[in-house]
Amino acid sequence: MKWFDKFFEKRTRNIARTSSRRSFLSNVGKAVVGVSVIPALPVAKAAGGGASAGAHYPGVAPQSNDNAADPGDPTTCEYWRYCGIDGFLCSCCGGSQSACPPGTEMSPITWIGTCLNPADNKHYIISYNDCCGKAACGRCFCNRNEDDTPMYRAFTNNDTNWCVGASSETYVCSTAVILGTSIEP
Amino acid sequence: MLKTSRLKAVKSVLTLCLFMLLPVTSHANDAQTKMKYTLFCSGCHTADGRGSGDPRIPDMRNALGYFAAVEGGREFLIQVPGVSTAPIKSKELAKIVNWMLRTFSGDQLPDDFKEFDEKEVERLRQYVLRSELGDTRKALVARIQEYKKNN
Repeated sequence: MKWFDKFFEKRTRNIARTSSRRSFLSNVGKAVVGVSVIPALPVAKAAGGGASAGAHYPGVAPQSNDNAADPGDPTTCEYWRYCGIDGFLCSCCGGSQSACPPGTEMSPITWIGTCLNPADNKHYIISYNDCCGKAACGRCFCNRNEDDTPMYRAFTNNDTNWCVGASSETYVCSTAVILGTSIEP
Repeated sequence: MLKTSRLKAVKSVLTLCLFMLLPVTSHANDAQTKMKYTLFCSGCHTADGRGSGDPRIPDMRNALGYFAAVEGGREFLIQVPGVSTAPIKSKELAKIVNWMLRTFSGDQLPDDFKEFDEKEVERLRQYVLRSELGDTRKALVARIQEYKKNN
């Protein structure tokens, strides 16, 4: 074990000779900051898989939609009505794109946006009603945020928990109900 | 002689066309205003104006018109934060507020009610009710109660 002690003694003396304590501290600081900043870098989260990549959420079967006027699979984040959604898709949670799962209550207040329907190239007014109940669904998270505004414009912010208007304030999942077509001025 | 009568005929036909067009355009305008209400307001106030049951989002049906009847109410209708800070130009905002008053509470509007126009909305929305919102509303509701007794 002598060689071991000698090796580390030599390395330690070498470091002590060539670097200052201050530079050691600054390097440790850099490492700590660097490591903490890496997760905050803007990376393409869509490439990471999951609902936002178009892949199916594990355990959720694709839902075929025979209605040509309402194209797409409502269990995927790409479905046209979800252009402004931020939350778990009710289609994966026992409900549908326009109905809450059994045992949950649809929030009477909501945030509203418009999405382009690729079938007829028209903009539709979509109401993203939250479903409220006992616990968050946790399946098929989808976050697309078109027309979303910052928190200080709460009326059109989709990070708001719209369950404040329901009897239970616990968020379960989100729907995307069509309210009508958007008329161009 | 013939020419003038023909001209007259053309004129009357044109006038008739214009009159026929009027209800159509006003209907289209109403549909557009309703669409904007749906897009910018109905998320909280709901499609028929009933609100959420929460006192912060009250029922506007058969109630909103009273605000236009009492002193300070006209200003309040525009200066509540949801109206004055809405991302809508004043001309459109005036149309939406007029539409809301007519649709949700037409019977409560005073006989001498004058519709909001762009200029008035632009002037009033410069001031946004914030901390004094609750007190202002309370005072107006008291004034409305008084108004109801006398009318």
